[in-house]
Amino acid sequence: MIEYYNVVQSKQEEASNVSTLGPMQRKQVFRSDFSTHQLSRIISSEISSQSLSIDISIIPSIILEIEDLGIRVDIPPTELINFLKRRNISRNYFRNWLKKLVNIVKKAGIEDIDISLRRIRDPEIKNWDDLVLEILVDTDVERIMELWDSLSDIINESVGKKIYITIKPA
Amino acid sequence: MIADIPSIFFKISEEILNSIKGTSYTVLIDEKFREGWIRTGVGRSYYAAFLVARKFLHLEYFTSSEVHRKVIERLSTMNPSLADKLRTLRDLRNDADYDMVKRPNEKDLEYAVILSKDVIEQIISRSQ
Repeated sequence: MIEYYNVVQSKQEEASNVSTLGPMQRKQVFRSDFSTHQLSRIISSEISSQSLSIDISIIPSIILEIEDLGIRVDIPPTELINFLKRRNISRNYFRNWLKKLVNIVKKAGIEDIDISLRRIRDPEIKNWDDLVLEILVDTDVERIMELWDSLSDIINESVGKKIYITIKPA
Repeated sequence: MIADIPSIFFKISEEILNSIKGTSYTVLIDEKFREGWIRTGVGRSYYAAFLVARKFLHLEYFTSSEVHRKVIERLSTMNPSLADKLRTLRDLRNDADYDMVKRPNEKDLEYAVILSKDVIEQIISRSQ
């Protein structure tokens, strides 16, 4: 487990160093270095080598499910699981909500899109432990505002009220 | 008479944007200060919307940095989309004021101004 967290920590530090790159470049960095399958293997080996007090058998799959939708997960799995538990969001409902959101974003016809799930980062406010789904789009401002409009229904669903969504120009 | 500071802040951000676009000459944009003006405009866009939201929520007397979270959280219970937009503006403002590596451009400022206007108009329409 320690090895796993070290990998996550180092990848997150690495991620913060690539904030200046464009969304596609960042995706490449993450895709090549932040391998969920690699993390999954590490966790599996940890599970088989020791008994853990928390049930983490579902951890790798939930991340894989989200990443399969084309969303990069920039938080440790345990943090995501705990967040969903605290907010009473079922895993299936969360996944379906994300799927609907991704479909709407894809329908917008914007080619260069990068979606990631992360914790809020605010230099002036400590311990803001909410999650944000960040959508970076390489398009004009008018189309970004149209995207806000098309996401309004999904934002008003119960999950949308518990997770912040942000859309920013890439 | 108390000055309408949020409106002034918004007007400043809009004038900076128009001057950068070359459709207005209210602000003299020297090329070497261009990025500084963009960062300033993004910041004023956020504060214009934030101050309107804070007043709408009767949280004017909270002045610590925590009030930013309080306003967004309170707004979220009433209108999640509005809260998302204000939080996005805060993100843009944080980048503009703290991230010296990320270079904001004209599009970022235009987005901040339009988002700010949208948030302010929605709050005003709710309060009438």
